[in-house]
Amino acid sequence: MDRLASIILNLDRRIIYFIVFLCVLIPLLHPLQLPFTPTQEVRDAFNDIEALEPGNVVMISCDFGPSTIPENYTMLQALLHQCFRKDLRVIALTLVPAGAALGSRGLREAAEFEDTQGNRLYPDLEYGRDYVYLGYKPGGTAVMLSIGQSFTDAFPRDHENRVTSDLPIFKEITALADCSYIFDVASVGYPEYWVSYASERENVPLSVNCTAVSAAQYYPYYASRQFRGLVGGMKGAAEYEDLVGMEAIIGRIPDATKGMDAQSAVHLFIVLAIIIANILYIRQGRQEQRPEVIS
Amino acid sequence: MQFFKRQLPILLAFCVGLVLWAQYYSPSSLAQNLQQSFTAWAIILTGAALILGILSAIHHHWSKVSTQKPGYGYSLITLFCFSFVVLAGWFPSEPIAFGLLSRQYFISAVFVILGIILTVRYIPSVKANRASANHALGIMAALFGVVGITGLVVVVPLQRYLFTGLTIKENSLFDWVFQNMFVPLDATMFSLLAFYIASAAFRAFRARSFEATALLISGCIVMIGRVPLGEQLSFAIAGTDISFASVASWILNNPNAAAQRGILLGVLLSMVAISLRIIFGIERTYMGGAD
Repeated sequence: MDRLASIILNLDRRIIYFIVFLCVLIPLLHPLQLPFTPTQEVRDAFNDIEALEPGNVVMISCDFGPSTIPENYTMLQALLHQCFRKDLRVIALTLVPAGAALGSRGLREAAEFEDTQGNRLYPDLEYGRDYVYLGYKPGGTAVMLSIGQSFTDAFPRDHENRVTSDLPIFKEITALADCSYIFDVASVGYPEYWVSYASERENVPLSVNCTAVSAAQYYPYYASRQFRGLVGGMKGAAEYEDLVGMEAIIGRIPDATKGMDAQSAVHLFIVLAIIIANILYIRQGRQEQRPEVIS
Repeated sequence: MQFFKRQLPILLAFCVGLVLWAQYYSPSSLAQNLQQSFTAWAIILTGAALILGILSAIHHHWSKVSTQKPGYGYSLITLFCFSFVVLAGWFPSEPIAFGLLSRQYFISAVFVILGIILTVRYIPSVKANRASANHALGIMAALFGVVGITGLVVVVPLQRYLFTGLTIKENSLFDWVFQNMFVPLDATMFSLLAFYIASAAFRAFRARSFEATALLISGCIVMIGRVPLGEQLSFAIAGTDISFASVASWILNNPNAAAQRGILLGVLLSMVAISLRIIFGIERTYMGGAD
């Protein structure tokens, strides 16, 4: 028994990697479709957007890079479909360089989405009138302050080099205060700055989609209602997809929802591994066990 | 010189800090204009800092390559990839002069010229038998030359047919590089975390003390509770079924939020203190040096 415990405790890390790999792969190939209920944090964000009137403007900041596509890009898609379906106008931008192309792709994919018959889902959408993508600008908080004064001064040209003052949306919407809602889709630490430099200052409500690892640190902002809603990680994105009804819109299981079974399997494996390792550790005696290499 | 190195930055920090602090509380148009000007300056300075960062990175890798420090091959790859992405990003199809010479030809030509300059420097260093420098110079000359010539001979003509539009428009060369190279590479790097976390949790997450045990139990509950599986798993307390998801939600909304709030307040108070120290010239480490 002691030998077995020793073998398990000193298990080659490649075996652990292989089990993790299987935990991801098998549920992706054979989804179980475990049901889930949207949490209150996600419902709050969804309900706020649902409560907006057609023609209202939602400003979306795409502050994420390729590493968090499963958590952020899926959410961006669900949010954009919700906005376009409700005839809300969208002004999107990014404060991180790696987000520039992803924001552009996300907006284009949602706006030009075609159903299975090849018909555009939102045929009346027009760039510059109903949605616009301003792209990336360095400066972080300075950009937030700057769009508080004027969108066209902060971004004289959009992502594809069009003059922003010529775009119809900016004839009516001059600054952030004219927007009805701010949604930060972020993998970096910008959400709290959106509170201080934009939402509170211009009195525009804010919701946030962040990565699962950073969600825990944002709960005080949610508790104080500085974040009206908090969509954390891929689970939050899957819940939002469920609320928006993405499966019916795109005609297949949406990406974050598809990833839920794999995430369940990996989390279960990690928890079981921790429990087994601790039982053996306690059994062997605390003095013997010291972690050797963490890799 | 001491004035420019020490007194002037402190004076600037004092004036700018005080003005920006005061304008926040004033609704006057003067205050608003001031804020607008300072915001514009901040954006310009961030842009300049980006250029400085790029130059610093190039210098760092260039010196590693030229002195052939261990691992200089990685620096070579970095410089090459950097050059390639710059080249890809500067590849619009619009003409810049006379309707004939397009910008991409111009940029490719710059790379060719850089290759020639490096080759010219390479020849005397070979003659002087400076082994440390000539190897690196030769490789850099070849890299710049290859990028430039590839741009002139292959990519630009192909772009006429394959990649149309402006710099980062859909189907531009830069967009292609970003979507097909950067996105998968970055996503792969981040995906590796799952494997490392699983291995590290198995090896190092031990109930050695009361605090570690509390962390371990709450961590496991949140991990299970934050996935759909957690909604299916439940346990009974006093005849009531309680799911892992509801316990995880309680942990995040109560003890976690309380602890995070305390940390946040501490951090923000420290930021106020540091800002005051900078404004009044007590904190000088941002200027470099010891004090």
